[in-house]
Amino acid sequence: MPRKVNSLPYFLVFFSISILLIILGTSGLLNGLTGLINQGTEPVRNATFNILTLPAFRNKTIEALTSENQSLRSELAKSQSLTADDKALRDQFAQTKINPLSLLPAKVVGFPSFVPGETDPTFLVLDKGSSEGVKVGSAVIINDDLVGKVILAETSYSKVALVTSGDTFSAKTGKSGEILGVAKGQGDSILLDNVLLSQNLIKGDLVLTKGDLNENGQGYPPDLVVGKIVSIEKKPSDLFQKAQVQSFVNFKNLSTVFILK
Amino acid sequence: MIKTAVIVLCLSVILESFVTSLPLTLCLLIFLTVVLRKVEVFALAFFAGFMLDILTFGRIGLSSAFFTLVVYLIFLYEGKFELETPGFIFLTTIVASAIYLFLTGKEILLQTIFITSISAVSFFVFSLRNKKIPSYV
Repeated sequence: MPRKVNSLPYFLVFFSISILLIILGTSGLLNGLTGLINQGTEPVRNATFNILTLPAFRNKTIEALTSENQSLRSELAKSQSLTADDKALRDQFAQTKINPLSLLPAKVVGFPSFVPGETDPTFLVLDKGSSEGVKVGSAVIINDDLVGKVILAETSYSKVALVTSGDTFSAKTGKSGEILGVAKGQGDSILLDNVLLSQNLIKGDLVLTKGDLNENGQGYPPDLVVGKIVSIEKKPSDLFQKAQVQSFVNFKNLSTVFILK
Repeated sequence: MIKTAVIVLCLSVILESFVTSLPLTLCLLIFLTVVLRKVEVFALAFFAGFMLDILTFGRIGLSSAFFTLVVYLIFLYEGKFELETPGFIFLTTIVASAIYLFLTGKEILLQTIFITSISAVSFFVFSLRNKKIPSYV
């Protein structure tokens, strides 16, 4: 029978160090060390994996089929993407009044700070940048509908502020565009403000851009569709009347847009 | 004996890190504590737990703390129970494994049953080989 040893001091030492490690680990101070050890044990990890997946145990037919399946899935995804692009281009060039040569097709590659079901999209990230001729201030459209304006143009991507995000621009409505106002994005809709009380706003009427291009060709060109009037706020005591405008564009589902160069 | 224990413990840490989620290292430590009854097992428990936590991307120190606690509890009950019996191994492994699997967020029931069975049978075979099996088992 082995003699009984006093194990308490050993226990206290190792247990205290362990608790200290838990505290240090929680605060992230051991991240460097753990990374180093994991890097060092990578060969062991790989060797274990290789031993457990011996080539003799592999079914060549299943492996070949799995590989082919992955490749076909990848091609299908590419084909679907090309079909969507093709449809967007056809729609755009069939409907727009804008010279197709001044349109640059771009893919939407990101919706910064957009959480589906929680928030509305405010910005888009496009896969075209200054190397393709994108400039800050360029209008972004889909068909004839206004999407937004480029606010940042990096070499290979650009960031677009949606028309609903707070941008202010001149707009017009009425049968011949005789009613003028100032449109301002309000997150999920657009407010048409500064419309004279004497003018007759009609629910359902289209709101178009008035055109505020600057000398460099940046800004919104005229006659792009902003949306339609969904409600009117007219008080005799106010100087101006207002209207809520709803865009026709479903910003959440945008995949291809066009930048006006 | 300690050298063999270190090698076997290293193997169990590697297996538990890369191959299986069964608490092999814990069971081996219980086994070593019962068989060796040396304070060096505390160091083995600590380092095995430390490596295990790093390699399994777990909370560093948790396994070390738990392993050293289990080893200490076994030492504590040294005078009160007959440690070198499959029954003691069975009970210790089942309780320690269940708690350890709960702490590390793994599936408890099946793994506890499996590892306890392996542990008890292994110890029984070990006892037979070393002729330490008590007459009442």
